[in-house]
Amino acid sequence: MLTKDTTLVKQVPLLSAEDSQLLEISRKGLLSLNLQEMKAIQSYFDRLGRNPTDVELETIAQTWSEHCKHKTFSGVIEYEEKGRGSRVYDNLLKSTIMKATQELDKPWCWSTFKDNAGIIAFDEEWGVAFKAETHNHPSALEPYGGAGTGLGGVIRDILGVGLGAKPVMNTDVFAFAPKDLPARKIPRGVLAPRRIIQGVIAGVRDYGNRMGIPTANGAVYFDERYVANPLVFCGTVGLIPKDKVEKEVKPGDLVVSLGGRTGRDGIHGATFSSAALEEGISSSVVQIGHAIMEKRAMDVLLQARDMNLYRSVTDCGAGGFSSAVGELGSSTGVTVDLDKAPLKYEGLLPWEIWVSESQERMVLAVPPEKWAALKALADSENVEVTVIGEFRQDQKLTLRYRGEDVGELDMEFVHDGMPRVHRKAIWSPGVEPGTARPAAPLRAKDLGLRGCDYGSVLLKLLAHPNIASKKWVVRQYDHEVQGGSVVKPFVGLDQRGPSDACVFRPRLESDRAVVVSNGFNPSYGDWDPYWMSACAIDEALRNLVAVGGDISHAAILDNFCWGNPEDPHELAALVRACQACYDMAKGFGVPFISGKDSLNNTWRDPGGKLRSIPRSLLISAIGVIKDAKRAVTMDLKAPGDWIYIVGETRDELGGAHLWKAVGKPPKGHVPRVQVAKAQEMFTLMHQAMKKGYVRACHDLSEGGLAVAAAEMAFGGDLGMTLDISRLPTPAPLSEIALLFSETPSRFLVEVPAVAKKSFEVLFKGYAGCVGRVTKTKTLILRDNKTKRTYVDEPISDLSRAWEGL
Amino acid sequence: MAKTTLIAVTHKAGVMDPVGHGLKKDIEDLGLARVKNVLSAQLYRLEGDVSRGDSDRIAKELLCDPIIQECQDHLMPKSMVVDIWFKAGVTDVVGDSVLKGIRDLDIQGVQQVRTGMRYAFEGVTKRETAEKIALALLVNPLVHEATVHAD
Repeated sequence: MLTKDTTLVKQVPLLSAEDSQLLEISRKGLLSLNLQEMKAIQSYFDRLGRNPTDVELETIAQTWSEHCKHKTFSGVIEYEEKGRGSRVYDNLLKSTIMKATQELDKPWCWSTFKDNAGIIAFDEEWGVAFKAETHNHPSALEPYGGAGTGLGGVIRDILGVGLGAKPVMNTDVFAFAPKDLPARKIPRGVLAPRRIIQGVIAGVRDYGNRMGIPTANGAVYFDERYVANPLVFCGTVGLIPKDKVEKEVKPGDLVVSLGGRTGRDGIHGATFSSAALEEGISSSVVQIGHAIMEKRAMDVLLQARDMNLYRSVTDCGAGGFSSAVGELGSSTGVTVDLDKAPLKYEGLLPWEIWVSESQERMVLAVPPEKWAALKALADSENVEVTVIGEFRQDQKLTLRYRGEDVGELDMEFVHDGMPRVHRKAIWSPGVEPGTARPAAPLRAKDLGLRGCDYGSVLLKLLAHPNIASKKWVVRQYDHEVQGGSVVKPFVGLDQRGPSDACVFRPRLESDRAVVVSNGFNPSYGDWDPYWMSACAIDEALRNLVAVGGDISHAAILDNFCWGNPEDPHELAALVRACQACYDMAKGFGVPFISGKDSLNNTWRDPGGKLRSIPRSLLISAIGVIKDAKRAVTMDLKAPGDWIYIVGETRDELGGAHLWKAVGKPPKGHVPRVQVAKAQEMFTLMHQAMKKGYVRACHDLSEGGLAVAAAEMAFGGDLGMTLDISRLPTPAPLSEIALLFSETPSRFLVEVPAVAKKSFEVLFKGYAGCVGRVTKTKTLILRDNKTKRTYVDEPISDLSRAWEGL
Repeated sequence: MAKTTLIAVTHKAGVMDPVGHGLKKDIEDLGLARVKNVLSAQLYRLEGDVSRGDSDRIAKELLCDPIIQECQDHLMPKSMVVDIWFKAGVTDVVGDSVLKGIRDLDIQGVQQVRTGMRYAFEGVTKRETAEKIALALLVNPLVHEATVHAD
């Protein structure tokens, strides 16, 4: 019998509410529930013959939030492409991304899409878990706290996967508006980009460094459209014993809260993150992290795991206890005494305790006979553990406060009662801004150049914030702690060059290593999100392969950040991106193991117009290699070595960074992935590296061949002379396309003379020998057929431009 | 109302203040104001009964790095000063750690510690200018409150 005490809980008058009142209840309570969902809740309580309490309504809102339930991805989408027919996606996630994983059915995938992170085999006894999350809206409001807790949250995901993995590495990818964006372009109430950038970097730095986890891979991307809605992706890799991958909950187990105390911070985070950013946000959504607390909680948890003191674990993330306890007890039933939860201060109402997103908390299912040992262990580490309830077998969620029942819901309704979203998605290619095709091949004058000296363009490209050195960020992070790093963020002489990916050994007693990389190309999304998505996957895997990774033992994560999913065109764009995920995962034979989406990344510009971020998909890749000693870096090593380009170059300048560097409106074809060829080249590259044919390898990405060549040269403090007429191409190309096209699936490779023949045999039909490494410290890019020199720059100048000196 | 004790920790004269230095550069980059010099201090507000001797011990043994820092309420003469604190209710984890440190020093009586920052701007004479700098670079109104005074 529910309590009648109105000082503890309020009855929400749902039963008698009209449609407009239902929506008002949702809006006023920050519940982010739509009419269809409110009606489903109304009819559930109608069957029970009573109104819900505030605790119950909050529980449902948290569990059904876009953040927790991924309504769009799990809904039904009718996709229509004008003039090309239609298709129904009944659960977009399952019919694209997860479908690829199922069909690929890799035996080394130990856990995919069912836990807090994906897990793949590292060796016979150990697995590596990987997860990436976003924390965009909190970082827009309070960058330091938002970004720090973003990283703290994904670290807890790793602690809460299986029976707990040890975090061994962090990644971070940020998308911001440029630092120097004029004030008139910044909406009222929005922090200036500089503030957001500094706060976000400091937040991630302080959390990762203080927990003693290396931050060793990432990227920073700039576009004006992230002004009010920056993207903060944080990822963590964990190491887990094979016998700790599975977990279970048994009726009678105790519900135990471990770590931080509960306060009012972060209330409504899950529902808030599912809404668009508007002015007038309350400070209660702000979360402040406490890295030392999480470190202590981690120390207890990993010891307790190895002592078998609990049967299941998950982290308190969005939705707080409501999500974590609800998830653990979904197949059994659970009773929680909310007054038992340790609080930071008095005065919290039951519903606030239940949905608070205070950080650094984990929830465990502990067999009663193990409680004493767990308590003693936690006391010894100065960490608070508290029994807050018990798992039952009644399939109900029962919430009590000081002995009174304040909520009782059927688990089935909470977890499966949500009406599915039905949406229409309509794709009309013509509305994209960059579909105009160039009428004629580009010439130097199209870039505002006199003559054909492209050196100045190359210097501008190297200085562009998306390409330029990120040392100002990376040097704030500890990427050496734990001692396993092999290929670091910067490589070459004095660490002058940017690495394509990171390689590290999570178990120092073994030569086996983990490779982590990422791909992120929002600018192609303005052309076609299908190819943006394909290129992001290609880039992540290309980076992985470039340092010695093996795509036959690699997996990827997807993190979508998109605009309004109720806009049919944006939704169609999302469907296209997901379809590319399926096609590429199948084509490369690389499964997705986990992912996350963040939708409704919209904001109002100074004129009051609703704006959207660029369509953004981060692909994070993880792979395992047997021998870290075979890893390859991108810096040139020895004068006289041969330089090859692997992969054909096409006229693909759509969305290319060339246009950003020269300040001209973009035009051209968006880069496309020829996945069958790419898969074969990536496989061959791994073989070539294993055989020792490759001294240096760099992927071609933003800025194309010219930028990749410059980076390799100053990375090794050596020169390079290349004949661009020898690039493999399907048809004759302008020098601009040869130098700056961003065609994916390409590598620039340094091959020692002794391996020249073997390399050519291996890459027959895929590679062109384009030049040599020189002692003279100059980068020369010329066409030997026409005798024209397009770039002739000292590498010190190239390096200075890239370093921003 | 509980008694409060304020401790301001700043860099010793002649030791570079990297926070102040960075802030000065940001002010110049954004063209917000002409400033000659910027100094910063970490603020700690101890709430509860604490004797002068104990607060000195807390400052010296817990909060100051004796090589480069000292306690100094007044950073710079003839400057405009901005103090920034977390709003009530915003979690202050550094404050919580300081409180634990005080208890580890076996000093009782302090109930709560809140932390903040103080910035002194030499060459700024108008209160509005200091407020503009604070709002542009230092304060997030969602979690902070700021006060401005002339020193």
